[in-house]
Amino acid sequence: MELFEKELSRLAEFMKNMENGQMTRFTALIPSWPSGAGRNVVLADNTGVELGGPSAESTAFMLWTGEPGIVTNGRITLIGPDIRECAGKTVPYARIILAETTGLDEENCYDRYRQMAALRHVLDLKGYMIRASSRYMSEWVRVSRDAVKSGFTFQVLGSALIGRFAALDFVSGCEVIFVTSSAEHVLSLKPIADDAMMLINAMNKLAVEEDHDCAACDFSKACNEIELLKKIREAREHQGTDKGGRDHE
Amino acid sequence: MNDTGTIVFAVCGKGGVGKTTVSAALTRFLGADEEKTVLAIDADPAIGLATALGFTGSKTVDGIRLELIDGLERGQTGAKEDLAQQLDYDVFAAIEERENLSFLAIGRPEKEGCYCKVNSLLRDIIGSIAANYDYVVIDGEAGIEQVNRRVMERVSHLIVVSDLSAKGIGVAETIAAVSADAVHFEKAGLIINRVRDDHELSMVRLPAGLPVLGWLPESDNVRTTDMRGGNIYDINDVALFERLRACLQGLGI
Repeated sequence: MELFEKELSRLAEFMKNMENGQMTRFTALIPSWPSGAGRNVVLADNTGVELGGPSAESTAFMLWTGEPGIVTNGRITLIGPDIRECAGKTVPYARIILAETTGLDEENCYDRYRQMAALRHVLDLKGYMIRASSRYMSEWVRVSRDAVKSGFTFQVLGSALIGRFAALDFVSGCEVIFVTSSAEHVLSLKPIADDAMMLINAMNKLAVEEDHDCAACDFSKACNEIELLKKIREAREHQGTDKGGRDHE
Repeated sequence: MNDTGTIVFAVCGKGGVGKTTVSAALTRFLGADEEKTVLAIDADPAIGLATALGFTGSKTVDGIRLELIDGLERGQTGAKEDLAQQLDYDVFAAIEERENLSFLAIGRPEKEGCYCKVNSLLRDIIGSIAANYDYVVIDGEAGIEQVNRRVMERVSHLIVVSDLSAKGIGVAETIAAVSADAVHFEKAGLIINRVRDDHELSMVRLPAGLPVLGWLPESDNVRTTDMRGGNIYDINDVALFERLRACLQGLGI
């Protein structure tokens, strides 16, 4: 089974259920929003729109696949109101990135995941602040009043994200989904986010930790089901055997 | 001024000389310009600046650090990048905001040693957040060496506070000497607090090597407000703020 096969299928089902609601589709533009010149804080007093954070439901996750045809490159989908319509409010928020990748294997998947995960933090957009929590699988975004007035939209944000992903040589496609419609919709995505995070944690553990005791590990079920995790585990076991063999020489 | 244009004040002095009141007054003075943003950092474990500015100080950086360390000791793991992002999120969530003013309580000073990775990340995060403001005011402990060091590295203006006591002046001299080695500030000066008049000031031996910026009056208004549990914004003392303005001119503000 592919790493996020189940999660992608559940997300597709969610999107199908949303089709009758307020759904807008955009195409990514060439990113042109001015830089924030390194200032990455938008104060509450200067906030035009707040998305997620400590006082609103939020979830954020990324799924990737090597299978062509699942990701529509350059597509930005917004479920719910856009930034301008949210002005003056704190709204529930979900942000999902789908990436089509090439050449991800048991040797490079951890490093490549880290490269992709870091991209949301390197966005330097004037009037845009992001704080992200891996523990809560959520994001906290503030868009300044000036940015709202100047036309900052989810198309601008999505385009900047897609532009960053497109610059990675192992990413062949990227699309972004934003949800601002309701706390209920955001909450319904959380189980997908949690399961995706569990798989990423399993991958991280296999990549980072020296010793594995599969019998006592919370991730062993996932490692037995998912092809990529199986391969990482086997590769690590081989490394351990080789190292053990050398130690005895 | 550091490379992002932020002016970072550290207010230090012997315990009991009124440096928290001076920090609060300085914060109010700087924040009176609505175009400017001010971050007040309470680096005193007693968290008196919170009350003095009308904040709660309920979440501290120390609390965040302890929670994280507790998690690490219970076996939680994660990549360094995830740890840094989580800390950044939690620290930002701990900041209290009111108009153009933000407040962050450090709590107990960091202890180096077992969790230096966490301490180091926190220093970077606080330093990075502080760089977004026009002014940062740090209410320090008696000395400055305990204060979050990454922020202290960015101190551009050191204000040492003393009352008229010989002990207070002596501590001020020591702080100035220690700071000169530890912190590369642009300007430093001494504010003498709770002075009745120029004559009283003339009776005190002032320290060498630390310019006297001026003095702040003993204020019944401040005392009454303190007794009532009020904050600096409840104080209507024109003389206090006029004298503070004169002191800051000595620092080029």
